[in-house]
Amino acid sequence: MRKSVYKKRTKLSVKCNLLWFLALAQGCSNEVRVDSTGEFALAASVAEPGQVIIVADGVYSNLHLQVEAEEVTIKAKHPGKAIISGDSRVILDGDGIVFSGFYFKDGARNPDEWGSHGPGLVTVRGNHIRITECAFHQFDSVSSGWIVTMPRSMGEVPQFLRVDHCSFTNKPSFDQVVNFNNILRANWVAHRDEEGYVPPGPMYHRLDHCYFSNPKKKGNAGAGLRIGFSGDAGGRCLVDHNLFERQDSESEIITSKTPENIFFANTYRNCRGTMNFRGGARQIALRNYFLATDRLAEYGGMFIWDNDHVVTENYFHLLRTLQHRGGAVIYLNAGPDNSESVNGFPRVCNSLFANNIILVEQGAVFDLSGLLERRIEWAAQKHNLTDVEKFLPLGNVFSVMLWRCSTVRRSQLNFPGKLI
Amino acid sequence: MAVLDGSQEPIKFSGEIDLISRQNWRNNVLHSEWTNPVSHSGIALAALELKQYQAQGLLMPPVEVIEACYNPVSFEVDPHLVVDPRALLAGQIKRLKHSPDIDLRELDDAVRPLEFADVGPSWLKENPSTYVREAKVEGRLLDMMKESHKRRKLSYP
Repeated sequence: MRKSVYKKRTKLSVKCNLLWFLALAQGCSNEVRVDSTGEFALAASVAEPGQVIIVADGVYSNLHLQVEAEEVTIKAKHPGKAIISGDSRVILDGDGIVFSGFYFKDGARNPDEWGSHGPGLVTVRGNHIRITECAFHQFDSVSSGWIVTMPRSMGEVPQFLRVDHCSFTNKPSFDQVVNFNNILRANWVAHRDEEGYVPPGPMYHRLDHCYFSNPKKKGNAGAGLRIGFSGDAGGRCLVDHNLFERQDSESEIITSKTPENIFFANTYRNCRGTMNFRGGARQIALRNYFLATDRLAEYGGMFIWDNDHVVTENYFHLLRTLQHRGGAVIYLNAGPDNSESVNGFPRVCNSLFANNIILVEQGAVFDLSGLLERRIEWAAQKHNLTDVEKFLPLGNVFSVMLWRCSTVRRSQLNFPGKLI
Repeated sequence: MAVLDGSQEPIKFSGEIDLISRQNWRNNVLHSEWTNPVSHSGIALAALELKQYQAQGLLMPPVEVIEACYNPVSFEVDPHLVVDPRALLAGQIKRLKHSPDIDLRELDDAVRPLEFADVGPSWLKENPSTYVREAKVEGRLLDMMKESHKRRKLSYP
């Protein structure tokens, strides 16, 4: 044991010396320039707080990068010209790391080492980390997220991650593209029903100015973005100014599973899914655009669970709504009494829908009984409830709207908006 | 054109769910807690912006929609149930103690449909995905998707 520690220390010391020589040779103690996979991994592993690692143009294949020091900046010398490929992975452990300008493509990870809801191609475990100016394109067919936050331990939540000006395209594999985890799934499943279980706190991440476009896969394949696992945990993430274009991976473009997230000024263009408030109360959708510009497929709007949301000043112009989601632009999901406080599928209550402009050529504007049959079945198993009346959404307010549609449904009656 | 403003007799439906739905909906509106008037509506501003974007070819709604939205006579705002989105957003961010590097001015100015040039890495000027343009899965992407599905014992498509 002692021998192995000694060996490790010796190895590290040699590595540090190498890095020191590397820095010295480059004439700057704070800045290190690397141009091979080995140098890159080494520089990251022994980086000192505040160090800047500049990565030369080239292909960095089979890169296993782990950064534990704080305030380290890792950036491509020429953004987009440093390519990370092959059996690679990046782990950002230290607080305040900036990771900038890399192009992830032509990956070839070992599928046996990866699985959905686990670590990602880039795993974030520290706080105040920024990932910017990176592109992820058609990396490999391994099931895993591309950017994933993972707590280092139970109860510890990575916070204040910013992912901005990145693009995520052609993900052929399962699992979400970006996963904001505030707990390890295994821990959540194991402990959520225990007495005294305290859900993890808020994340405060921001995802902005990013581009998502990914092809459709079968079943529950993974959305473009998932925020958390359960409605009782902390969210408070800001998702703004992103473009989701043909984000088709599955029926959820975004699955927002934590409270108090804000979705502002995003554009969803020709997406074969819906933006979901999947669980977690008090979420806001403000000034988002849901647009269809062709008739190649049916495209979606919003699909909502849980209570006290604000959905205002959004613009929906859909030609054909998603029939497999019931054909409405906005679905308010049904659930049993008091289900808003229950993990699972909480009913939509006390939410405000105001000043939205909704245009749909084939389909309905609202539906207040989304997945009603499935929910009744679920609740009957969990709560022994079958009374239909107990499932309908309550307390929602529909204020001024401008809307047009071809189908008038029971759930649209008396809306205080203008039908044109 | 018809106006559904609550004063009209609802369309008659038969069936238990329909009746319950309608009854609850009326009750919900009357008894809602969301009755605090919140500042001035941004709807006219939004309409103006939409009009500008349409003029620039960025939007494709029919003209009459814009006109109806912009004209306060044809589009009446309920003063008790409107939201000032900027105040809402600013308040929410402040309340939730979001990261201090969020610049509210940045959030306020860009309210329009985004294009590829507005987002993503600055060095990636081209649309990188043939899938986006064609809505087709083919070539290497198709092979990779088949492989991924095979591992999960699913057929593709």
